[in-house]
Amino acid sequence: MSAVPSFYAEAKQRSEQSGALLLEAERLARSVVFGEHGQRRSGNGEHFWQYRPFDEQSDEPRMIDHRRSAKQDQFFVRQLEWQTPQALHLWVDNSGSMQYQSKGYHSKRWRGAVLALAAAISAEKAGEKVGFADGQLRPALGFGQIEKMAQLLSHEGSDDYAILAPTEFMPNASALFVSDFLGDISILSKALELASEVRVRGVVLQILDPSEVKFQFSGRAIFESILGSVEHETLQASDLRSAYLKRLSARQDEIEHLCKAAGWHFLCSDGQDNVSVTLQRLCVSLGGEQL
Amino acid sequence: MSGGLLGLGFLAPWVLLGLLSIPLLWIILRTLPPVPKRVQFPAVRLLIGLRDDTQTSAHTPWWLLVLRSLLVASVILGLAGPLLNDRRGTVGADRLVIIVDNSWGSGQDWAAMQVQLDSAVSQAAIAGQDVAIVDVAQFEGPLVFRPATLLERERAVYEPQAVDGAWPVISAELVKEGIKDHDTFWISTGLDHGAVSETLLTHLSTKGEVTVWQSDTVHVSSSEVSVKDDVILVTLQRSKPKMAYSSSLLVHGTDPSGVPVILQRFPVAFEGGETLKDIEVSLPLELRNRVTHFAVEGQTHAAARFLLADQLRRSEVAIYSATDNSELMELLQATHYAKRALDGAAKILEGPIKDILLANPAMVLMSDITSLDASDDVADWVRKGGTLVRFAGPKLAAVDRQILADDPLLPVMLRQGGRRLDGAMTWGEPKKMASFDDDGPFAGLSVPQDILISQQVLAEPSPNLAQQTIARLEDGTPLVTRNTLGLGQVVFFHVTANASWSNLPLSGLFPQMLERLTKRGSFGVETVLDPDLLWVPEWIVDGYGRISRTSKLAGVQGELLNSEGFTAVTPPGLYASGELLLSRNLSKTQDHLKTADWPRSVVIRDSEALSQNYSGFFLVSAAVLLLMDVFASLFLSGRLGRSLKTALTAFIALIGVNVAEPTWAEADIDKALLDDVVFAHILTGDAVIDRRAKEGLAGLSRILTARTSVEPGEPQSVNPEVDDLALYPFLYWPIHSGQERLDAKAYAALNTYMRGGGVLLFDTLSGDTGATRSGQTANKTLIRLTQGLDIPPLERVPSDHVLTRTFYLLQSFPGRYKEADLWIQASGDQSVEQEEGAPFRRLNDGVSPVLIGGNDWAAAWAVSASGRPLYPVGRGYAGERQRELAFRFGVNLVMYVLTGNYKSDQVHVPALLERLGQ
Repeated sequence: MSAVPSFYAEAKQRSEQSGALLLEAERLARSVVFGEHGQRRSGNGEHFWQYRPFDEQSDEPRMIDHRRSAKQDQFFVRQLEWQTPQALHLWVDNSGSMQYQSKGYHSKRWRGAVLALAAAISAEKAGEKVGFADGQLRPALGFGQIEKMAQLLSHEGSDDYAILAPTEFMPNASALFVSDFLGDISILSKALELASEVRVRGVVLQILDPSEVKFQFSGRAIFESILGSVEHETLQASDLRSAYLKRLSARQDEIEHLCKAAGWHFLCSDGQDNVSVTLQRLCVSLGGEQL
Repeated sequence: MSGGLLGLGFLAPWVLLGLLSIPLLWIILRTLPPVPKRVQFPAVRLLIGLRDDTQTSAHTPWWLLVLRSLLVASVILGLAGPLLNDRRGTVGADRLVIIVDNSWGSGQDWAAMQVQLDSAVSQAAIAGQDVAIVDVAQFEGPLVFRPATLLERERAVYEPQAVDGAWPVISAELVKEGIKDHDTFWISTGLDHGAVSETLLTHLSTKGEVTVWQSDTVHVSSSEVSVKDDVILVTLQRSKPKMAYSSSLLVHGTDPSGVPVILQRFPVAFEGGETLKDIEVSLPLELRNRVTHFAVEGQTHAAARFLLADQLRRSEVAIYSATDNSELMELLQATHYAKRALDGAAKILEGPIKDILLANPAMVLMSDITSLDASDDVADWVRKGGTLVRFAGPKLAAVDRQILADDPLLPVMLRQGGRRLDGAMTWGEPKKMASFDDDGPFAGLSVPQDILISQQVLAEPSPNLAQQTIARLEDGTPLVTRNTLGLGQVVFFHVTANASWSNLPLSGLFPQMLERLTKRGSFGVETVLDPDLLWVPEWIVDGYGRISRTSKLAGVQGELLNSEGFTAVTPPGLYASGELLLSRNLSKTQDHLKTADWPRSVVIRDSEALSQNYSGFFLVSAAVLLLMDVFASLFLSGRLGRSLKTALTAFIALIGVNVAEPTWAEADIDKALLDDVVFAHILTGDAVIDRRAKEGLAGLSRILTARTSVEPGEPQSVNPEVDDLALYPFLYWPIHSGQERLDAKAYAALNTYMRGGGVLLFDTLSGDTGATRSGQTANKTLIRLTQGLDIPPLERVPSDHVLTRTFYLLQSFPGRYKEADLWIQASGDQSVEQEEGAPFRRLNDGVSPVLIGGNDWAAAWAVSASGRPLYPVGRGYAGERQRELAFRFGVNLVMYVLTGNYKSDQVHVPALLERLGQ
């Protein structure tokens, strides 16, 4: 009997969480707008493309634009520019290491999810399909999709570090990968490889916590990962600082290098940056415009 | 090891060798690294494989080392047993008698005396002496020596007692043959105990060394309280007359609500050499009546208190008048003048006669009462010393003389009818009063010439009528007669208590006469202690001069109180015997307050020269240091925050458990019942009827919420046998023939409920409260069920009853039926006529405690959750109209219950007239 209420309580908390996530993301998304993806040829769309002479063979008489035709002795057909909705794939790491937060800051997962969701909302407003790249939710249109995504984003993973790479992409789409990329880097390189095969371009967003950037520890300490799978003991933590920072920047260089090779953009948010600025940079990189 | 600088010594000096271990500890602690702290860090994968530059870890910080060294040092020092003022080795005999004077004067400086006692015992324990403790207050002998170590462990508790001290027993026991030589340590209050202690001291000096410690405080005693004219004189005496001493005299009493307070304080300043001081306490009458005792500020012993019984108390006077529905103007009321006359001079009680007698007033006033339902009780009360004052009146004049002849509560036989002196058809004129007899209760009061008696009742002539008359008219007719009955008296005024028969109640003489009668009624001041009377201590004064109520002490024969002084059985305090009160105070005079004069052979000891064992101090500080060390270690390993949080959570959970457990019955009451108006019905035992009643009340609640500002909560079902009825403004009680009578407790609860303003609505559900066949069965059930309830006289709801206009203007009260009459408490006064032009009579009744009808209202009120009626009422539109009227009745009823006779206020007349179209 007791399983039901606890499940209910968790679901309720989740929905509250996803609601807060959505709210924050919407607030952020208001500052950016995505462009529409004109295809530079006639087709289904809203914008005028050209008038062309009526072709008796192929066109039906109801297609004649009489306003234009009345000016001349010839019949014209009004054609609109062909616009296709694009797809945006998201992949947000929900592993244990993303749950880390130092005092006074949001957890990494919260920041990553808010940024990703804000990007998704902007994209959805611009008429694009949004969805997840790991197969949980295929890209689709509509705000209902955003709500589903918010709910899925509030789930917590059970691993210390991400182990599954995003694998499902629609061709020619864009993608956004959000993680701290502190785990196995091969996941990222594999994902970028897969994406490049189907001509998907996008942004890799690394989320770090301020304490990960600064490393202000001292004394004898045992460092452990959030869920406790990895440990490292040291007698004097302050001595490790410079070596650690070197390794961290090496890791970032490596990711950037991978991105460049695949034609992707690399961004890093370390918690001390302005979130809306980061979002704008993110959207510009994804092909949107700054409002 | 003993002696040494400043008298510092150790009980176990070899333990100090342990101090050598501290440097060792220092070295060990320094080399051991602190426990690593655990840090959560997601980027730990980047750290793996990194090498520490240095292999030496962080050291234990120096302050932690100091802390731990101090800890060890404290433990070692504590175990070594350090002694300041080490006096071991100065002890003489191996036996010690400690006389600790915890009699009445000891409360003043008991803390110091206790310290002396404790240190004397522990010192004896160190020296290995055998000790016998003689506590002066309660010593019964024999003298028993026991090892001091044993006594130290037992720590027997001695408290100051408000007693004279068992000196005869003590001197008898201590001089007994066969007691071996012993030293004596005498802890004294500094007060002299006269010849007894002198002989005792000489004897003790022969046995061994006598050492004395004495308190040097000043004792002030309240020795006497007397009343002179309007001033209370409190006599204070004190010890140690050489020094000047100032304090305050506190007048303790109660505030009007009975809470103990200090009513006044008067400064007291003894000059050097002054031993006696009279303090004049003058208080307004109102305050004086509430004085309970006197105390001297800063004096914490029993002799400083002076308790009062009722020496200063004014008497209580009860005024009893028959249930008065006559709605007379205040000035016409029979008891108004008596009340005003006694105002301030006495405390006035009013209420039912039985309740009045429970309060045991000194005097009861009755106006024009012909027959008393509790006349036996009243007579008993008079026989015990009460004063009953009765006034004549038209009712008493009209009663047949045969009835009055047997009344013991009338001093004289009365003639039926009385006489009228000022009528239009009489020849006489109003009579004046004659002056009072010199030996009567009113002796000395002057009679104003303008008092005129125009009507009175007459006494039957009898041989002792003249004796019984204490006030008469000019022509000799008795005006006030009196007869004694047991210890008390019955006084009868042959005129009314209001101004209708005479202007006596208007005169200044009237209060004077009543006051004289009141005086006669007060008890207790000059009571002689009857040796056979049993006195029960009710309030006692303890050794610190604290006054507390007691019920544990057994009663004491008056003889014992006369002969004995103050012992544990007869402590100072307030004693009661029946209605009589007696205050016993220590009242110590100068004889008892002399400073003790010790012979030269006696060693007087200073307070300072005590050897004290400091091991406790060191051990406690070691414990504190240990606690600090725990926190410091946690802090260093980074676990302080988490541990604190855990500790706090556990602590809060612990408190939470305690809070969550309701310890008082009130917690059971649903809060909604207190916040909202909630209606309830009484469970009948028939499930259908009960459900319908609840549905009906719910429907009514809906209508009320929609139409009025009354927004009731969920209706409740109550069982008056167990539930608290006080939460509901009205109870709906459907009646059906199968219903069982409730138990007696339930009827008592319902009576209390109705008396407290609750309203019961009975519904016979039969559509008939009259005498038809169907009505009769229901009526029988109703009669059966309501026996035991205080139901007032009833009448059909009159057409001008306030119930017809509390919200809607109604003339019928239909439910599912519409024929049955609704019965309600009969209005008190049938004589009030309807004024011309007014729509209704000017009645100001309270809320009727009971309404009886049979229209099955619940069925008409019941609606489903969606608001649809549940039971059919009538047919078609007429039926709906009837249901609407049923709701209107419900609304009116609730308004009547909640607002009482508000709508009968004349303020509403114009608006009502307009609505009535008149």
